[in-house]
Amino acid sequence: MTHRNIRKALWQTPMLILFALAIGLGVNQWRSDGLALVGDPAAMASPGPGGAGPPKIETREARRYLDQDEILFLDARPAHQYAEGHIRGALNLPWPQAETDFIHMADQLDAAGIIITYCDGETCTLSHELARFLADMGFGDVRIFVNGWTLWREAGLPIETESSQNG
Amino acid sequence: MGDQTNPAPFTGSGGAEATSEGQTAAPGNAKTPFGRILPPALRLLIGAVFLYASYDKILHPGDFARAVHNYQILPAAAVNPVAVVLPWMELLLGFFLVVGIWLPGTTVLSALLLTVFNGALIFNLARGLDVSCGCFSTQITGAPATWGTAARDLVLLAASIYLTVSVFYPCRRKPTARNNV
Repeated sequence: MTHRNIRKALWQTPMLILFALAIGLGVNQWRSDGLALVGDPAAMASPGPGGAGPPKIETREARRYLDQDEILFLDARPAHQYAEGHIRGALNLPWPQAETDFIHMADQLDAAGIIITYCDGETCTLSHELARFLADMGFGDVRIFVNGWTLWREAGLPIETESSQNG
Repeated sequence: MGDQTNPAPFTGSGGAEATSEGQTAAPGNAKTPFGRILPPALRLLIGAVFLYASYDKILHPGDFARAVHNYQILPAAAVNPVAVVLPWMELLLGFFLVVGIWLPGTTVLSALLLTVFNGALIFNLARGLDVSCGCFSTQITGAPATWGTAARDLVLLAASIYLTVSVFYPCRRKPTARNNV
């Protein structure tokens, strides 16, 4: 009996996988918000409906913006983390205090052509919250550099700390 | 399953068509109510968990893809295909488990799937990555997975393995019992 069940498992398991493949791929093809299955892996790195909030950028794009006058990097992490190190030239606007504190840097925000928010970690939402807030407030082109601090450091790009700024 | 003589049709005899199978399995199981009730109860429980888990993922494939991506285990090219197929796998398994068909295949695949889920979660906890589980909700903004999440998943995996074993080795009164037709 056990042998018979093993034989059954041997054909049922691949059949189940085939079913799931057929249904999953079929439905994905048919539904309007289906995902792209092949294509640029970079684009797939942040999949999902594009309309949901400010666009996300990658390290490559972020590094292009370094030291450009009209680009403003915003560090959404708490002040002490910002002080320990941040992307060179970035200003600190910690979320959620930013809801009231943004007024102190309204001039810089207004002057910026592109605002790039970042925090640390793939699931860190501070940068998303801040970007959404700024976009809602009407500050031009706001983008999110997801996991920015870690990716920036890993890429060996220029950083600064509070002390290096003062000194 | 067409076995009317068996008071508990889902005693883990693998959706057996032959009546003799049910009779072989039934007496031993009937001896302990625990052993008779536990496999079908686990089957329903795990099936329901799979159904529940698939729901949000099927509705929001993009969000689920992001959750899969956050695990940072799969290559980028594999993220979307997995995010598209996996929820349906869960739905199928959940449905088959609840209804009680193809049990040899579904129990093996369930255990395999849960093993992979556990492995991925524990791997990321161990390397200190702040992933959100993405187990039942695709919202990655929620609290990150903890060892408590892993413990919950491990319990589910243990139940799934027990169920699989009960399908392949239904307990019998006499190990030598041979009433094949």
